[in-house]
Amino acid sequence: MATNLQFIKEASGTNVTTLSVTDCFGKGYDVYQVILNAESDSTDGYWGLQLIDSSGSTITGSEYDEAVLLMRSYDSFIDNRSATASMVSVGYDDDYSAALNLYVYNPDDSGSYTYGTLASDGGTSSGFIGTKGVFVHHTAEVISGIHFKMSAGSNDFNYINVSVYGVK
Amino acid sequence: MAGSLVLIDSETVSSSTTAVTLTGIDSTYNVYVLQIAGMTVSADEAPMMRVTKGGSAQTDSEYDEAKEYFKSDTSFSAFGQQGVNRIDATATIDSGSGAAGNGTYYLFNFPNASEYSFVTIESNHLQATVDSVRGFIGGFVHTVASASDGIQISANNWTSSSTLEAGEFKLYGLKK
Repeated sequence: MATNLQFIKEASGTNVTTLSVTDCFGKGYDVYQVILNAESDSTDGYWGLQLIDSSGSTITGSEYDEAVLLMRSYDSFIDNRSATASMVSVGYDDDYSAALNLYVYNPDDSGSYTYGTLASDGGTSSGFIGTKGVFVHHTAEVISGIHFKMSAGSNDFNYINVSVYGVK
Repeated sequence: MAGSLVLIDSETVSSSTTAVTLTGIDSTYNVYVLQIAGMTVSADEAPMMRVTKGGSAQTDSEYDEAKEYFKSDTSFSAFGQQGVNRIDATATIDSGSGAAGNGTYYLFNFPNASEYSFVTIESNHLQATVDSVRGFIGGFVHTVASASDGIQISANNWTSSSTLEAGEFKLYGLKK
């Protein structure tokens, strides 16, 4: 019986501001699933993702459209949206523990934009924060990897673990 | 997690077609997963989705849906309706270069003849005219208590004579 969720790569770090998962795409799949668990240090902050191009460079320009709903257990929800983002704001965390389930569509296709849908967990001392959202990298090119970072450069991930799978 | 999906049916669209029908759902698995990647259209269009019974798309007005409509270009909106005869798999995909629609849909209770068929939706696409990413997160139900054996995705929904031009459509069983 064929199985169709194929492990590709894992990466991890401790006390790091960023983590690049290189060469995890370009494996011949139309859809990739990315699973992450992490924890930020004790400074509130958004954390997010950027994509890595075929030459291995992280794409830091304003090339992302994002629409992410920030759902807070202790306050109103926030629509987080931009058509000119330089980072996709995945979640918000403050020493709480964070998780992400991300689907990435079409990164191998040089003629298509790369799209994603995401769901994350996180929180602060005030309570739980979940997100749901979508994004597109608004340039048609091959994407080879993914880069996670805290939005404020001084913040760290206490730990971060990422696994990438191909959906065949 | 590895090896938890089993491919049941698939179709690659590489030339104009009106509809894709994926079947093969039976009691082997409790939950099925539909994945759509790189779906493009001949003219700006929101492809529609219907469950199939006996291989035939159900066109009755028995669909209810509730979705959050995510938009990078303007405020999000809640979207709900009852008693409609089809469900938009994505909102309106731009027909230009680079644009596409994608999604992951979990199918529940399809083989169960005494339950309604439920589907959760997580989709994204490049929205026509505004050229920005949008997406649906939510779900729908077909309120007929009988077994469903598949799902159909088709164009010619809001735009007359539109077609699907490209895309990978895959139906998986979620291994028990």
